[in-house]
Amino acid sequence: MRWVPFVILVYLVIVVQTTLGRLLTFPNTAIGPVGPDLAAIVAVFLALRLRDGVELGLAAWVLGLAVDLTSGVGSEFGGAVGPMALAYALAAVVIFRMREAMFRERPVVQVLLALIFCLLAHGTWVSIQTVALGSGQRSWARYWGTLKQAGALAVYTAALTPIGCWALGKFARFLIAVQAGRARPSRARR
Amino acid sequence: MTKKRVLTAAVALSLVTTVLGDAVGGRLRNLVQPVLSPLGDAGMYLTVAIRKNLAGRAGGDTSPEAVARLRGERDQLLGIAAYWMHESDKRKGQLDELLKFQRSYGPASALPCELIPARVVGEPSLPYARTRSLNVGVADGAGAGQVVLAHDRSKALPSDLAVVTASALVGRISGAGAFSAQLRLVTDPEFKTPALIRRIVDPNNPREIYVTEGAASLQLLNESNNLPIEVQAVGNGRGGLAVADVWRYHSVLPGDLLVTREDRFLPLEVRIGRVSEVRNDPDHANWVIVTVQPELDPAKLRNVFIVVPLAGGPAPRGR
Repeated sequence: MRWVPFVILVYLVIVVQTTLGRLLTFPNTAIGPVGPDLAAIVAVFLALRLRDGVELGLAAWVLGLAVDLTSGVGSEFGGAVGPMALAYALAAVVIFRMREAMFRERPVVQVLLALIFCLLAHGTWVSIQTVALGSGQRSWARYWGTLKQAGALAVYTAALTPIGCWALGKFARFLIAVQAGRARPSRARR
Repeated sequence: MTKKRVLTAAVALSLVTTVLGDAVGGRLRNLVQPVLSPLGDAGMYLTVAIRKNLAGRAGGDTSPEAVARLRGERDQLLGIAAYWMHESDKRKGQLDELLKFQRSYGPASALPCELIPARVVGEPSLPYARTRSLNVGVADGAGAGQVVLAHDRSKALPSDLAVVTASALVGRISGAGAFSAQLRLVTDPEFKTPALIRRIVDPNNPREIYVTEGAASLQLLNESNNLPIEVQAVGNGRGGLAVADVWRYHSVLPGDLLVTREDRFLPLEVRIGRVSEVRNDPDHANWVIVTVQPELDPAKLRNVFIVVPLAGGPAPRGR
């Protein structure tokens, strides 16, 4: 992992996610606003490419922390910084374990893994933030409502993941020193 | 230190900050916001410009009859505007003379609040909150000759300050750091404000109201019995506000106005939005639930003013 380009990428992704990325948000659906989590696409991309699970955990933790710090939620939603960093790291490790059984270049696989990643990460985040709420604010209806929103976000993000992975693939060599995958015979030998 | 140890330390740190909750979370967010502001400002400029452009294109399917009618109305309004511009210039001259006189001999008068111009520099990264990040580090809009009150910009702004544009309330400050502030939009489910419903008297569409003052009776709404209705408005989380517990006999109709009720944070009456729907309260036969569409689309929000009361306001506090 090349950490300096990665930190720059995280900064750019978060700026895009909090500004231009909001153009992709459907603001007034029946379950509330639904928008994509672009940082999750980066995390899934890294989970498919990195060789080292610990490096992946760290990278996902940084991405989650960046999302946590810009989530805009306050005391009405628990407001803690840290749950998304934990949730991203956990979800990335799960994807890392699953990827060996799949053809990771296929868009369907990327969609599926992104869906699992987002459901895990956002489900965990919503659960932790709800537990952190005061007993007066906590309710099953509210928890269920936010979970539905998280589910819609997961589907939406998953749908965009193949495009994101394709775009990030163009810059993969700047981000990842040694990429995952089986060694291929060189052209000369063939 | 190995990567494993770094990861362990990071996870432990996250656990600690998670347990510490909003107190630490708010401070950390305020520290990070100024780092994002420079690029976020440019990003929001593009975002708002694109949204406005898209909204303009969406309105392009108007029928030829509607276009002709609108053109006629526009020409008529241009004529009226030209007349009033002329009148306005005349009055302006007279007013300048009077103001000169007032400054020399009259008592001092001022708006009981300071307006801090601010810009939206970011939206939340997750769609669960309806907030905006404001760049309040730059004060602009002050001109020569204006009375400018000193305001130490290195100090944090207090929470709960009202945030308005030039024409409408758009939300309140939910938390603020030294160089950034979080704006909670009026559509956020956590947004609550005391408000007034002002009914529009329309001779073409008369309505009966039940007047409870003196001898209770049914009367037609007119200028003399059109008292504002005191309500509590709450963001509904779906792009509007909900006003519950409104008596049916007030005959609130779509098109009526929701305005702010004066309080210690906003000593002015400012428009919030317009009633878009009135439906029966399923739990109470005599009450209706009113849905209000905000005056301004939060998606196109860019420039705002933060209202800081000069006297009787809250003491400044950060997070």
